[in-house]
Amino acid sequence: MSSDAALREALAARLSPSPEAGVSRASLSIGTEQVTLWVRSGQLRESCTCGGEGCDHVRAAIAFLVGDASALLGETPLRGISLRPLVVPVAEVSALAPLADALDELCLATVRAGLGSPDAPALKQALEQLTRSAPQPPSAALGRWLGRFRGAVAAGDIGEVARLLEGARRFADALRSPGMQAADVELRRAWLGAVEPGGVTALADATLLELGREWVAGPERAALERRYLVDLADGELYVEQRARSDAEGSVGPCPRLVHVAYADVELGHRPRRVRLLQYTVAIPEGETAFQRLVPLAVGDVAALRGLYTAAQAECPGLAEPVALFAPSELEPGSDGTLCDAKGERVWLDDEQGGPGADSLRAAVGSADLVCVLGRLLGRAAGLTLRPLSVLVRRGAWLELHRVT
Amino acid sequence: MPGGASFTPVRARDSSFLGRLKTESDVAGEQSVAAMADVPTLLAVLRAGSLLQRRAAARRLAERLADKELTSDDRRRIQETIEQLRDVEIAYELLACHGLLPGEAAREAQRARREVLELAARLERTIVDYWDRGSDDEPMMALSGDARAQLMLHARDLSDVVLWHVSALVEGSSGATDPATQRTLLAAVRYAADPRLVPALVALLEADDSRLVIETARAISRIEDARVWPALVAAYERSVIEGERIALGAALGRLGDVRAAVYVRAQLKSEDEHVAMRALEALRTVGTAEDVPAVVAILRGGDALLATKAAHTLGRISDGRALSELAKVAREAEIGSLRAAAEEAVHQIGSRLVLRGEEPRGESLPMIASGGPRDIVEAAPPALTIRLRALLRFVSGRFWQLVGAKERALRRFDDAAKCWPEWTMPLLVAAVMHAARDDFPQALTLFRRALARSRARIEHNPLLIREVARCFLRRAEEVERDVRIAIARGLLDEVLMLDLRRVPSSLRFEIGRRHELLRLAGGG
Repeated sequence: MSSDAALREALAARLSPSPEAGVSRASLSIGTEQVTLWVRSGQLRESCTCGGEGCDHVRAAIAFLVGDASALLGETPLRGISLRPLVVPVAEVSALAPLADALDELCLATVRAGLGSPDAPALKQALEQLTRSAPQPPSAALGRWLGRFRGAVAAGDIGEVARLLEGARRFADALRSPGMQAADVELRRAWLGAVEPGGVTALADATLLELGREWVAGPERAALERRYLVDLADGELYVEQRARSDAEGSVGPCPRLVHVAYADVELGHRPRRVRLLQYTVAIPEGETAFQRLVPLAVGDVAALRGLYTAAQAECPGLAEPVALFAPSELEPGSDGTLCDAKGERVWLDDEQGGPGADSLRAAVGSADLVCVLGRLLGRAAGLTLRPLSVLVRRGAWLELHRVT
Repeated sequence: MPGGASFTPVRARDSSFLGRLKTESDVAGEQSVAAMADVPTLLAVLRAGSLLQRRAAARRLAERLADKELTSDDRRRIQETIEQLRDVEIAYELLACHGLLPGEAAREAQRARREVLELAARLERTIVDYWDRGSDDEPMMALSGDARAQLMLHARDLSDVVLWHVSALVEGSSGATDPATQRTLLAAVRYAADPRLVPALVALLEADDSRLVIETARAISRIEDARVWPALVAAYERSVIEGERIALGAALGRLGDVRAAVYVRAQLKSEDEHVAMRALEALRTVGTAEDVPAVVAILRGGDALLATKAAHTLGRISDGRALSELAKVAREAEIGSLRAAAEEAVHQIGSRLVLRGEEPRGESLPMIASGGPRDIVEAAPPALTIRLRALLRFVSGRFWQLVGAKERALRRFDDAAKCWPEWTMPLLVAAVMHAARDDFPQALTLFRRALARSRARIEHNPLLIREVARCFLRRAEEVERDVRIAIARGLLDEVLMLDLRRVPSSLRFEIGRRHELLRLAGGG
């Protein structure tokens, strides 16, 4: 048996599989990363914020907990740890100048090619140049931007393309900005995902209810999974995001109650991204948790429009606001809309080229619609909602159904 | 994003009554199953309609059974057909009909449903514990395969908690999921038809693992939900892997979209045996009368497994030209499963011809001697004294069995069998006793001896054939646990050669599922 395996076995024997008896979960900070270890089915399970499996951070944490001094000191495992920089140094920012040029090039190519020819060689070339110039691997935000851009070009959605390019242009300007203005730093952080001092805040002792999931396009089709969680205390919506290639995400069905002992929340546009580090999961039995969603829902379309406009102004090109909307009516027909009490409408869209009303109606079934969790989209027809999940009332009972 | 053209359904042109029959309709003058009152027509739709039509017919028959004005003749017709029909795709609806019928079948259906609901209530508790307290064993995978299949056949009666958990396992977000677990769960939900599973299944259509996509396509296409068709079209249009594309095409065919027909037809000629077999199966949903000659040629070929699949396919295509060949197979086939498939296909085609107002070409509908035992060799009975001696030992064995002296009872049954080797009763009783003690190897030996003497009688007895199937499955599971894959597969090959139409759907399904897994594991 290798020494790693022996150490893992020793730690698995020490940790208790039950939270009621002894230490069942250990979480350590190794460098800038957070390692969490626990036991399930007799096997030691691990997660590390670096995203790696069996990484040096995990090995160092296991050695520390088992008390293997030789592993800690003799082989100096920390030497192999590649730490992500806390601050993106100015030199590195200047090294991103080719990325700024590539973004400019893409704006120019799009304007020249137009949306009538989405396969234009100039456009393809500009996208390739952008992919090459981006830090490797590209950040989740940049990957998502690329996915949205390709989708909008393929669909010929001029408004969406314009919004995305406007965001890209502002990001390019921020990359070229000689000073370290707060707004520029924030924009860089939003696009590149660099961890800077003050860029992350902690969330502790909170109860979140996961109420929806969706797969969205990134560098490839359906590359990113998003899980939407609402803090039952203050109603803030968070998003947990993972790439398809990431083996480790948080566990649990949807819907689920997540009791957060410790989580990182990235500052930036809403919904803010959360990384669950120490948490327990419970099934929301009964309807108590769902009842608490009802007062959180927005009741009129004007408020949704305000939310969408504010998000786009805050972070154009990246903002994808999500809202809980309590409509007064779902109009019949496959291209039906949601209406508020004043008769104002929100269109429904499944983001796949088809209307979203049928999907929503399928999830509602024979129950009464109470509110819809949806991602807001700007379409030529007007404000549009991509329904993700729906809260319905069957008799006197509230139920949450996923749409996606 | 799918283009506009591909997002238009490609429907087969069928202007017949069945082609135009809706499941329900509010349009004046349009015929629908939900409004149909005539029992013989409903029974014909139940056999020969599309999945949605068959499902609607079963629901409508349940409504008719609850109607006090139904004549006794119609009630008897419904009972006969429902007890004969073994259509796992509509097993849930058929069980609801069973529950409304008089007699043993109804009691059995009610008992099965009660057991599933009790199991579901226990399972819900363990699922909550699994998440709340981090229990070690994942509760769904701790169930036996047939219990899981039985549970998921009743998915529409299960609570949200169970379905959320199953969705998490299917999606791979349970923390203890690997692709093998996902495939096992997907196979179990194949006939669940519950719309609450749609989001998880749609997410899996995007998976990189082709085997997961194939299983997902099978499961999702059986769910009546507006989200299914667009997701399947998008997956089909981007798919390039043969097996996956065939499965997605077949799934679309089940929804009435036959865009994959040309592709599937071409794959039937593939040199890859596995691809050709999948194409043969896919023709059940996208095939037309044009495909009958090619499928009949496979039926005539020497491979029993392919011939059985061809018979099933011909039944679903339901063209009268296949009748004479199928009737011949039904009369002459030695292998029970092939004979059963051919008989079922003849009934399906007969029903379809009735619904289309057609007659078989050149001859009337072939008569098949179904329902009666057909043992080929009937040995002359031995002398009366020998029979009496055997009977005495058998009765003595039953006595010891009743008082609980099982070993002594088994010895008496053995003596009785030795005394009159052609008499299968002692062998069967002893085999059932061994099976009840989980002594499956010994039970198998005795069942095999009984099958060699009187296979058709056993195949026609629902209780016995269920016990035989269960015994083969359990023994195969034991052998598989010892990593003797080839032997386990051999056992399932053997049981699949029997006529399993009287075996409960969940058990048949689990045998089929495990056989498929072992076939893949064995590279066959």
